[in-house]
Amino acid sequence: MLHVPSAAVLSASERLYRLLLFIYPRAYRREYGPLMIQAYRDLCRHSYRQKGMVGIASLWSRLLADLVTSSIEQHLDALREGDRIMMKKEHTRVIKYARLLCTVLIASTPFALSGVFVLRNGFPDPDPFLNTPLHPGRELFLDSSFPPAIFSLAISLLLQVALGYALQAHWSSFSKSLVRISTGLALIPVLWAVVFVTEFNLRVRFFALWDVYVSDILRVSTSSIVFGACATLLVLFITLYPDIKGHSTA
Amino acid sequence: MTNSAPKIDEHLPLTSAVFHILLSLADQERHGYGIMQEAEAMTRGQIRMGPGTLYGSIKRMISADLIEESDERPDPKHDDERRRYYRLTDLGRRILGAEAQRLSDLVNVAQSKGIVGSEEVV
Repeated sequence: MLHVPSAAVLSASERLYRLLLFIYPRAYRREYGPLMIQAYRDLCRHSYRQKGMVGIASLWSRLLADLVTSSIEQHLDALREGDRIMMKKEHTRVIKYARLLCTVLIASTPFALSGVFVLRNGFPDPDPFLNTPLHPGRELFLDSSFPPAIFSLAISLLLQVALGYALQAHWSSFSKSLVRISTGLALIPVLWAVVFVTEFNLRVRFFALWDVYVSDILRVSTSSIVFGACATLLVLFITLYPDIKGHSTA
Repeated sequence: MTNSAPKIDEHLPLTSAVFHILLSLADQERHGYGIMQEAEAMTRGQIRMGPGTLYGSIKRMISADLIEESDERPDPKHDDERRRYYRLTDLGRRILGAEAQRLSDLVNVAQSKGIVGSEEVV
């Protein structure tokens, strides 16, 4: 019978090992996770009986290297297996990525529009004699501290997470509606430009607004792609490792 | 048998882990921890496989048809029923023999070159 403190240490080390198994691919963990934990338990008890806590420490020094190298091997195996499957669906994959990219770009439009609306009364008319910017959009693109920029980045982050979740959850109708609405909103600046035809400083103002619009598209799309990639990774991580929510592999 | 020769050669040389797992299973079926213990005993503690290396190798060996799971339990009363036992397939046994022969030939070469004495080889 083990002493209580030793039993607690063994139990804690087993929990730690169980946790570290999350670095393996999901399919592999499902198949071999319980067996690995059982083997670890046997190894742990054997090491403890032979050398006590020194044995456990020695075991862990070997286990860490074993975890890293074997998990890399398993991920490479999983990638190779995935590649074999995906090669058969190359065409589908290209369409999927293109659609995702278009969705990200189109979904950024409302936030680009928000930048235009926020700035339309605020930014000065371009005038080289007064040193006002000829391309305010470019300055806005580089000015990440601008409050609307932060606001739009935050909103775009939320949108990308929602979009990623919607795509991941196969809410095809929701995703389609989102893209449809975003596309509709993207047409607004065109109508808006038509309205501005009657304005006196149409030419200068239109190009300045267009400048802001394009820069906002670029800025928000860039951030959306970054945030979208993060959100997609998060979704993928949750999909690949659902056990992290609390379900045990054992 | 002529058809199987190229198939055996494709697997050679074996990795250290695969060779020791096959060798551990040569005389009897074993579960994962049993394989680890046997490999350690055979090599006087020089080979200590971790669970990751062991089961990663087992996975590949099963898919390569070198070993297979066994339904039989040596002693069901005293053994954890969740344990999985593994045994050699015919292909695995032939590949193990071919690898052992290859290593033996290498040892002979080393002996002929005076690298190791015949008394050191058991």
